Amino acid sequence: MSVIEDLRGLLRLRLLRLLAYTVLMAVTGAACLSFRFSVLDPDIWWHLKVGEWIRQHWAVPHNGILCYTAANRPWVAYSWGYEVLLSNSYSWFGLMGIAWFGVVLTMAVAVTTFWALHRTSGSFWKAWLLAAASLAAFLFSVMPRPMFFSMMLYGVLLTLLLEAQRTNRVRLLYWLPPVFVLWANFHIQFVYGLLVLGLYAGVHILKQIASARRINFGVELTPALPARPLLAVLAACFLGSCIGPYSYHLYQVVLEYSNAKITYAIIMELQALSFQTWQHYVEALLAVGAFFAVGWKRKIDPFTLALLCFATVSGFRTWRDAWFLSMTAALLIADAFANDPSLPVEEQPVPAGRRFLEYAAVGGALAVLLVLLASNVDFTPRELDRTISADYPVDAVNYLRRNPVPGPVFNSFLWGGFLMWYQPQFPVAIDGRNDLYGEEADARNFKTENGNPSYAQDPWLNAAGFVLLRRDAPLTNMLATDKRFTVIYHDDVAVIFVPRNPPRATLPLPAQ
Amino acid sequence: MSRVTKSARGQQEQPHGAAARTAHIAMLAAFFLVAGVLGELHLQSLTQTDVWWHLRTGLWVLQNHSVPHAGVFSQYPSLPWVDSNWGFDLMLADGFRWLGLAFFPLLAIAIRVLLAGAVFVLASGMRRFWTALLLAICAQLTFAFQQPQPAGCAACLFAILLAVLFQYRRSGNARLLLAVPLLFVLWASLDVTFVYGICVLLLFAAVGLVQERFRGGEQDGASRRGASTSWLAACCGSIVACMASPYHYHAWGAALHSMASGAYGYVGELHAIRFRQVQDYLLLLLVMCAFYLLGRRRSFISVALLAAALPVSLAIQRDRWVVVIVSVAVIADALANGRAKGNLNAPPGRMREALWAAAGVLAVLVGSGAYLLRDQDALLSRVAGQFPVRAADCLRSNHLPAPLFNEYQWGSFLTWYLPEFPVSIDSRVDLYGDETNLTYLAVMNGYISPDSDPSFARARTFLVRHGSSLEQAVLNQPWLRVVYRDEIATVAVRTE
Repeated sequence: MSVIEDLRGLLRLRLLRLLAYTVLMAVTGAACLSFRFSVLDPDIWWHLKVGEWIRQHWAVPHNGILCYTAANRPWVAYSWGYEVLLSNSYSWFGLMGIAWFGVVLTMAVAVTTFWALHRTSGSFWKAWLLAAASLAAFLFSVMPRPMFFSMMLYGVLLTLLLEAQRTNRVRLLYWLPPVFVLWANFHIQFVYGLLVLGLYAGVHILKQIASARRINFGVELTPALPARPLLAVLAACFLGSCIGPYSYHLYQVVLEYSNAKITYAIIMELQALSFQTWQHYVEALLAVGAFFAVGWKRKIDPFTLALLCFATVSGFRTWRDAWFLSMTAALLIADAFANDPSLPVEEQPVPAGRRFLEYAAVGGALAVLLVLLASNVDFTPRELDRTISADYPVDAVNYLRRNPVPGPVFNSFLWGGFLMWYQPQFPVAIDGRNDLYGEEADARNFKTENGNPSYAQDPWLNAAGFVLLRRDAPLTNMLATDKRFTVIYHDDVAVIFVPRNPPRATLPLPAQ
Repeated sequence: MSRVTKSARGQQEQPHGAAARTAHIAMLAAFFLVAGVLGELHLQSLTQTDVWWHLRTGLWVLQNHSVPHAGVFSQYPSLPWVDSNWGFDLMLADGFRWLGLAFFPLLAIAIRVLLAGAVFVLASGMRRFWTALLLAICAQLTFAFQQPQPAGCAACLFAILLAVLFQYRRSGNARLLLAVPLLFVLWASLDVTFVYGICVLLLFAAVGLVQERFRGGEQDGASRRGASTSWLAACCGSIVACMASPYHYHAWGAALHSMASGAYGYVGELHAIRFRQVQDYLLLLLVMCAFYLLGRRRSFISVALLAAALPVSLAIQRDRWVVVIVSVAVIADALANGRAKGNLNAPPGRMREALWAAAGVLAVLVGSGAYLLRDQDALLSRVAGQFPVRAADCLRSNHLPAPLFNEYQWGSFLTWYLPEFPVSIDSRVDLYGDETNLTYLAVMNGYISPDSDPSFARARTFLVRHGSSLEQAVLNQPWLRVVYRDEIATVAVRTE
């Protein structure tokens, strides 16, 4: 027996596969624990506070709560489902609840990605390699946010679409409407899913038209699925996305985002890939690998090609959408190199009871590993506290509690969310809800915080009772030499200024 | 496959008669014309940053009959510096002495036309006219050369190099490789990116040697017996050729130094592509088309080439031309392989027509440009719309005290227009080093107080952009007095 055959025999061992799976998940979990993204994300805090608000009021907000500069502007908490879960986690387990919520969410994305790739490729090792590559490309480029629900549900959607196409079973798609009900209440990027489904249905209909007219120009034109059920599924998914407290109003948010310009220029996660980290290269590799794989197939499939183009444009345009490109590319590679199109899974069937036991053993081993790792990497309340204090103005706010000054506050953009939670007595000037404040205000605040000379005319700054800024913000240096302001507190993280004269300009404060 | 067969030739796109051929040449000439003029309608080359220090250095070389080895025109004259673009600078200075400021747009036009021609030839040229024209148009739209740059010349040479190497792989004609070292002699004098060319050559040679050793994979001209000697000779000859300059082996040192520089973190043009403009997506389209075609017609060398070029261009927007040209070559090669190998063995007569078209267009553009742009004062007023011409005149006429603190974007211009004031910084990032550059940027962005920058602390005259954060910071300093201000610049002097 040759070495290659020995190796093949080894790779067929189920125990080895379970071990490999455990290692993949354990590495993912270890990365979550050591990066501590769950508490470093500036947006996590306003999500938490909004979740608290919803639980308190038993209603979802419809205007700019928790801030004073846009209190009367309409606003939709489109991730309300996530926010309620996060808030519950915090109320049950405190700070560790937030931290572990992020870890569990990240692990859930990893599990879903592997499941989707395994189901599509029919091969454990192909799925393992592709999952490792795609998770490395996108999972740690953003913090655990509502977007993670989009990642999971998109994985489910595309797996079902590809499998339905491969097996000609439209019934598989009947799972999609409930998926969209869930998705639309957790994250706004359900629209991506709807667009992909629309593309799928559109390509099928075009194929039917081309097939009926016997048009053939080298592409795969035999429609795999009947048009009517497909259109019915599409309509049901659209209706499903409107089931929730905001009904069709979610689409207004989508429209606003699609018209936004300034947002895409100033928000970090909406910038293009910087290629300063190796993850961006992995993402690009997956994209080109997917084009190569789609080209490898004998017949051109218009749906996969169109989907890949759409995902590539999105993924290269903003690094927030790295997940969309990476998951699409990995799934299309898995689909192109699937073991046998008619048989999605290569392994010998394992009895359900044994499989359950195996999964339980893997889950248990993972849980033990993560708990052990958590104590080794200081994933403890005290260390999390320290981590938060190193990035957020904890000491500065504590100073303000001991030495009260009149508001309103003018705060750094990145701290708005944290201040909502840690300093609830002062509604903030601005925070990470950039869809709330409007493009004009976002742009003006961006300029002001970056020390543009126009800061002297900023109405929010001029109306502020005190100014709480990051130590390294350009505006901090400007105000340090500005005769109109004086420093009352500073540490390595934050500086607090108060105006020498009481502010002349005033802004309407929201009713408490 | 090593020879062009009659049947293969029969499949090639043949223009039907003289009328069709004339139409093709007319279309090609129109493309060259548009490619040359389009980016220069508003004389953009006069408003760009880097060109001025190239000009000043070229004038210095002409004056001293030697190349600089230290930081001339700056406040750091003892810092070592290698002018890796000395050939380009010399050409620019020579042209400037001949045509004045009009030479900038003319050179930019010439580079664009030559590049369009080189890409057209690389993309199969007249053999596959429509494909080549489409690819050349796409490529031209993705290039972002707004000024007469050494990188534009490098892109031309890169396209020629790839055309030669692909042609050699198909035909096995070793005489083609003789041109490669000559190409590198020129390239090493123009731009530091000759290193990319050497890497590509080594990649081709490695794949050629492996294929000759194992006799598997693609059986083409370059994998025949004896090809290894040709490859080795070409590689060694080219590496040595890159040292045929006044800097000898220091040219390699400068190239390696620039690759290891921290400038990639803070210089805008060295950042990744931003994917906010149509040309960015066009670049993506070309790359993805190339990979898609490689999936259908597998070629190891093409995959390796594209995989090596892609990270370079995605990470450094200045070098976007690398992946664009490689994609064009790969697409053309894949399409040629899809029908009949050797399709790109163009008879000299057909290529000559394309070259004549390019030369004709170039002659017309340069001739008419030289006539239309003869008013030097009008050109200088165009420059004054972007650079502090009047503020520099104020500095000169009032004999304001040195040393000067200036904006990074203006340093290059000031080396040419105000040579009596050595600049505190300019776009020669390799001269100043990361520490100086980063300190300056931290001041500019407001992250640290201006006094933390030694060049600011020792300066006696300050030339800053009107409306900038730095101007605000300068105005806040009680020991500075503004002596001049216009809509472009503010000049202040130290009163202590």
